[in-house]
Amino acid sequence: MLITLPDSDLTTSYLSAWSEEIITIAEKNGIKSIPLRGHRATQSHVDKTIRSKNPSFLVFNGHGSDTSICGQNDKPLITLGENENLLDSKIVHAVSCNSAKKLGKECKAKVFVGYDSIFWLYMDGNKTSKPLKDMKVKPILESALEAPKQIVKRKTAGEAYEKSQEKYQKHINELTLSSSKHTAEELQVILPFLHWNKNCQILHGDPSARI
Amino acid sequence: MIIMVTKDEIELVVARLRAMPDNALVSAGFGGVMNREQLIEHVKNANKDEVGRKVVEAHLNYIRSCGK
Repeated sequence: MLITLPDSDLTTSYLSAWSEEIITIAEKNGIKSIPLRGHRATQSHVDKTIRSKNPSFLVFNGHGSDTSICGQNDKPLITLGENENLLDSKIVHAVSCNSAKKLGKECKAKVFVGYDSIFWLYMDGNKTSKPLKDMKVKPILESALEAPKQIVKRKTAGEAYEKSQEKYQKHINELTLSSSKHTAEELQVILPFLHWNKNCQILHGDPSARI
Repeated sequence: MIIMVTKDEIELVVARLRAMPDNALVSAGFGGVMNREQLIEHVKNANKDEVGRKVVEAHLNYIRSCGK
């Protein structure tokens, strides 16, 4: 597994901090990880690692667009029409705004799980120096990252996608059905973003693919 | 096709966003990280601001889903 963990801004720092657990779960399941952290989350390192190590599972965290997935300092790692062939025959998971819209749909990955619109994060500004202690972001990132966690547990991409969707719904239900336990903030602001991310998560390709 | 956001819809979403505490932050990918007041400014300009329009869409989609 190759996993990119950029940390050049608050959003990428959060995604990367919460994604470290994927590596732990992968190792427990006998899957070797190649993490590209911080300044190593660049196109040259991604290119070199895919060509030399041929990982079957690619996990991308970072900003994105309809046609690209970015790494450190928002520099593109994969761009449609330039080097999307690096995704050929791979299992790909990308928490990267919009990248499932065209890149994920048009590339030749075995399967691509990602987002076809904005991926929202809701954070506690008092916890930004310790992202893992930020419980406001937990419903969103726990739901999203359930998919790659399931893939490294050797579930199929389809099963992983369904588990992630279930996790989104579990958090939505917890916030909605026990509304008296939650603040107006949680009910009025977090829920719409959680609901949006759930609906924008999509799978392109073969749902039976697995590591 | 881009659907115009009405004044009432903008006011509804702004009222909901007022529930955000001072220290809360929202990330909208390349749209950046915003606090409550910055997010509200985006929403007030939703008809000419992509992030603001998406925030309105997110709230309206969620509210409609509650009625289903």
